[in-house]
Amino acid sequence: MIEVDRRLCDVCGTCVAVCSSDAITIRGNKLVIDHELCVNCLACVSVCPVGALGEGK
Amino acid sequence: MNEYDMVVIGGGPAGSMAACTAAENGLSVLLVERDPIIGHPVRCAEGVDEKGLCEFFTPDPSWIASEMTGYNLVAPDGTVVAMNVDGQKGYILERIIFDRMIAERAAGSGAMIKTGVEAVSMSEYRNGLRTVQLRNCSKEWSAHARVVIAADGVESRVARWAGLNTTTNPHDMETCAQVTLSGIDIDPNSFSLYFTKLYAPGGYAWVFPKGECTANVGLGISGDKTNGKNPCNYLDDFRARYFPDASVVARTVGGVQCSGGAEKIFADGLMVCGDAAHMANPITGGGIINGLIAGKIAGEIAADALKTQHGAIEGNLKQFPKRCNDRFGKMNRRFYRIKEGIFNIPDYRFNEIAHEMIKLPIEKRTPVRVLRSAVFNNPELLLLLAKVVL
Repeated sequence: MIEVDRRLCDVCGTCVAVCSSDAITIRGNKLVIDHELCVNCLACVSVCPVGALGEGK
Repeated sequence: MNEYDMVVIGGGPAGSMAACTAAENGLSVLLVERDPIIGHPVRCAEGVDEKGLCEFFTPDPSWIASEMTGYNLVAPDGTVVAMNVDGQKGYILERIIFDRMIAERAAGSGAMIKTGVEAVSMSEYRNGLRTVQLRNCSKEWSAHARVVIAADGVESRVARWAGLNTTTNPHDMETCAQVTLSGIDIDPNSFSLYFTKLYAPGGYAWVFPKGECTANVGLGISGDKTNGKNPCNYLDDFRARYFPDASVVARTVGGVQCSGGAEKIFADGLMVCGDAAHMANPITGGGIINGLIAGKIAGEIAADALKTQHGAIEGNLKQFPKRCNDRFGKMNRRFYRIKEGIFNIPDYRFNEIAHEMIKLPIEKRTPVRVLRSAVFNNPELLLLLAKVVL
C-alpha cells in the first residue's frame, strides 16, 4: 500500500499528475491517497521530488 | 445566484490571464485559487524571454529580479561555453509579485478573485452550464459557469473531471528541486545550464541569477531515470560540486510535464490552460509564456462566443486547440521529439560538443549549432531541427 510521509511531502502535486487511476487528491493542503483506486503502479513514487511516497510497512 | 460567464480554477499566470482577458471583454468571471496567497508557494525557476514577456507586459522592476544578457552551457566535464544570444534578452522574475500583478489586473478588470478556495468536483455540461463545487475550510457551495477554465497546474484534476486524459507518463515528468542560494560568486546577468547524467539524468541543472550574489539553483530529472534517488539528492551532489559554501535562503520542489502537450485540451464548456494542459516547452521546461498565450486565447474565445452568439459556446471552443497549436503546440511536439533524441546522448559526447563549440567564435555558438552537433548522425532529427528553425 502506498503511503505518504507528511513530514516530507511538500504538496507539489507532481504525483497527482502521473496517477493514472486518479487515486491521489490534494485536500486542505494535504495529500490524500484513495487505496481503493490505487493500483500500486508506483508512478507516484518514482516522480516524487522529495521521496515522500513509498510502500507502507 | 453564483452564476458566472466564466469560472477559472487556478490563479497562476494562465488562469489570471484568462480571467483578465474575459473580464476586460465584459464577461462575469470568478477565479478561485487553492492556496491562500496568489503566487505562493513559488514552484518555478522564474526565467522568461523578453520577446515572449513583452507581448503581454512592459517589464517592471517590481517583479523583475534580474536581466539576462548572456548564458552559458556547461558540459559534464565542467567546460563552460558562453553562447551567442543574438541581441535577445531574458529576465528572471519574482513570480510571487508577477503572479499577483496579473491577478490584480484581472480584478481591476472586474473579475472576482477568491484565494484559499479549492474546487472539489465539477458537473457534466448541462443546459449550457457546468457547476463547480467549491470549498473553503468546511464551507461548501456551488458556482455555475457557462465556461470553465482549468488552469489548475501540474496537479490538475479539473480536466479529468470532464473526461480528458491529462495523466502524464513518469518518463515525461521532469521532477525538480531548486534552492535559492545566496553568497555565491556569479555573473548576475548570465544564466547557466548544466547538462550531465551525473547530476541531472534526462534533464539539466540551472543557475538563474536573481541579483549580485543570489541565484535559483535547481535541476530536473526524468521521472523514469531517477535511479533510486530523488532530485533533492541530486541537487545536494550538484551543490557540493559547484556551490559548496553557499547559504540556502529558499527551497522548492515540483514537477513539469514535458510531454509536448496533452492530447485534448477542451471539452463542452471547458478549456484547459498552462501546466494543466502540458503546455511547457518540453526541452526547457519553460511554461510561463505559453500559459499566458493560452490564457489570453481562452479568454478571447469565451468572450467572443458568449457575447456575440448568445451563449452558444460549444462550437467556438474547437478554435482553442487550433489557436494554441499555431502559437506553440506544433512547435512543442517537434521539441518533444528532439528532446527524446538528445537526452539519450552520453556525457562524453556532450563534452566533445562543448570542446568543438569553444573553438568557434561566439557568434557561431547558437543552440541550433549545438543541437545539430548532437543529432548529426540522425537524419530524421536533423530534418526536424531544420523545421524548428524555419
